Amino acid sequence: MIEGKVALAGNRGTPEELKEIEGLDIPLKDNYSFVTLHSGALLASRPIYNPEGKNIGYLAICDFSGNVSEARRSAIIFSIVVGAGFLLLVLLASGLLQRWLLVPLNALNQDVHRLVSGKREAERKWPQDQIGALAESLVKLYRESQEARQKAEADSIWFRGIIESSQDILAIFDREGKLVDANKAAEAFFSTSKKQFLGLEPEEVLKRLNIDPKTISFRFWEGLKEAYFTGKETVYEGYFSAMDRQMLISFLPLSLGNELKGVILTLKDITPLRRLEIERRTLVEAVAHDLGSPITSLLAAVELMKKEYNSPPSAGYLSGMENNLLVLRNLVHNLVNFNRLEAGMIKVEPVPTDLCRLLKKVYSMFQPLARSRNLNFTLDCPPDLPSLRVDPVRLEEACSNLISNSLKYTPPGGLVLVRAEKINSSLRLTFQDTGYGIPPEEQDFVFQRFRQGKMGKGAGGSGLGLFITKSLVELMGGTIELASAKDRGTIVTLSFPLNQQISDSGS
Amino acid sequence: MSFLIIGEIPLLALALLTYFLNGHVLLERESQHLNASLSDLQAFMEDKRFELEKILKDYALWTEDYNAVSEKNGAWLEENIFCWVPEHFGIDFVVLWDKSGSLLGFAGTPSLSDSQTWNYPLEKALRESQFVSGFERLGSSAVLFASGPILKRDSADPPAGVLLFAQKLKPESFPLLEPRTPSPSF
Repeated sequence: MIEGKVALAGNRGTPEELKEIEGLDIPLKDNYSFVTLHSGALLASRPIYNPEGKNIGYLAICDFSGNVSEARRSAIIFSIVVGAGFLLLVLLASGLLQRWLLVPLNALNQDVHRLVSGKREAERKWPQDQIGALAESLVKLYRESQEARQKAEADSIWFRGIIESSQDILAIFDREGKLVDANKAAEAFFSTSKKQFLGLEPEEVLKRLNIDPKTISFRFWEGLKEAYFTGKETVYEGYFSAMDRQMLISFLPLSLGNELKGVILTLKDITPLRRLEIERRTLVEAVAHDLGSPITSLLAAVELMKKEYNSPPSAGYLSGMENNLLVLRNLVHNLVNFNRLEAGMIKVEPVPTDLCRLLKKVYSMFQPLARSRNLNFTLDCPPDLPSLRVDPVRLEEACSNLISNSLKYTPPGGLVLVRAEKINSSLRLTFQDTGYGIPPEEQDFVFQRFRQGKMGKGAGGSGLGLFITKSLVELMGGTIELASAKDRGTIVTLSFPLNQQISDSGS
Repeated sequence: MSFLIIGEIPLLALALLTYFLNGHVLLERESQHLNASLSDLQAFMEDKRFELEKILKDYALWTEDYNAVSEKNGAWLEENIFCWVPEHFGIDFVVLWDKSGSLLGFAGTPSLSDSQTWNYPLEKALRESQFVSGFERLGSSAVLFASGPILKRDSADPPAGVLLFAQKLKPESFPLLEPRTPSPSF
């Protein structure tokens, strides 16, 4: 770069402008150069060479017109004006926002704070615009949420009360299988606090209780899985060997819609109940046995007396005694059977059985009674009937109960028909009578234990006959159906599949 | 409120950025504009140089002139060269040397005739019979000059002498640049 002094000024520009470049040191380059002077004027220059190629000076043009400076000044002014305009707009917008939005929003915010802090209800009259609508919606939302919260709290208190008041052991596991709660009964049963078990899985809980999980029955873990994976409730009775307790165990899934939230495990200690039942059964067995022997003796004595005193009125008295003793024996027999059925002590031993032979035996047993009651008692059994694989003793018992009922509840002159027939792949036994029938409202419970219709109560039955019959038939793989109409009679149908397989030890 | 004012800052920054970018672009455009003006000015000066060289050639390639220089006819030279040329062509300075390079005469500023500045055109004319024109610096002044050998118009004879015309560059020298060139300086 060369610095040159101005040698010759051109013919334009004001004297002040020309004076500025007179004697001015101008930074010049070997080729084109362009500089801005202090005043803002622009100067462009090129070197000039003489014919020998020596640089003898520079040709320069200086622009004092101020195009660029003017443009810059305009740009500055424009920027300032635009900026000021924006600022003004912002201030205006701020004012409007402040007035129309921020002030109402602040008021709304204050009201919401007051509401949330519970100081007072919002009483402000809101304008009928969007902010007012928003405020109303918020207040409404808050009130609804308050109500929902109060309801949830009330529900929680109820739930807690139900759980804590339960005498059963309750433990609640979350969806991940971790213990989240347990009631006081659980704490009392295990003599510990639930706090140290929260967040643990059942297996860990058992270990902390010094109970080996392997001693817990397979059904427990299956029930837990069932609740978690299929959402089904499982209830079963099991023996809790670690505590020597008999428990009724249930797994109840807690679901919200289709989503599983957790599982409630309930342990009901039924040990005293079971012990009581055992004692009751023992007592019934003992009483039945103690009653059975005198009744048998009395029946034998009456039988002998009937031979000696065969003229009226003694014969009539003896017959009455015999009938009542038979009823009593039957009652004791039913009690024993019921006791054993409940305890699962009755076993069926299926063998191929000639059904007609069995029915004839029962028929002949009840023929005297039917005759004495002046009933038309008929047996219809085709000779080519295939043999049936059942327990003949239990089937005879069931048939006896049904025939006895038919004879008992059919008025003199009525019809009692026993029929056996093969229908497709099953054998059907029909016990039909033209007796008093069973009213429709009683038909639903005649097979339940200790339930009797009005007629049964009048006849002095125990209410166990049909229950025992149904239980025995089902134990042998059969079904029992009843159809009856008041004053028109009753039809009881037993069906047994011919190709059934019953395990010899099935009970 | 404050966040709105803070929000104004980017806007102002944008305005300043726009200003600087525009200023830069404007400078670029002004530079191009001045460069083009410089080109115009140079072209104009070239025209002036050709014009001066043409005038010089009219006088250098003139048989009468050749004869007058060869014969050192001072009266003829004074009348036709030293008086006529400055008066009719506005040329500030005329110098005439003989074929040995000795000064025969001049018109204009006397000191310019002794300048060593003319050695180059003098030698080119005498040794190579070449015409030279261009710009030269004489002290604080700049001149436009043209020089060449004095020859017969259709003859290959050696030059009888050397003729040089020079014009001092003055502000008035650039009237044609006014529309485009704001203020040329040299």
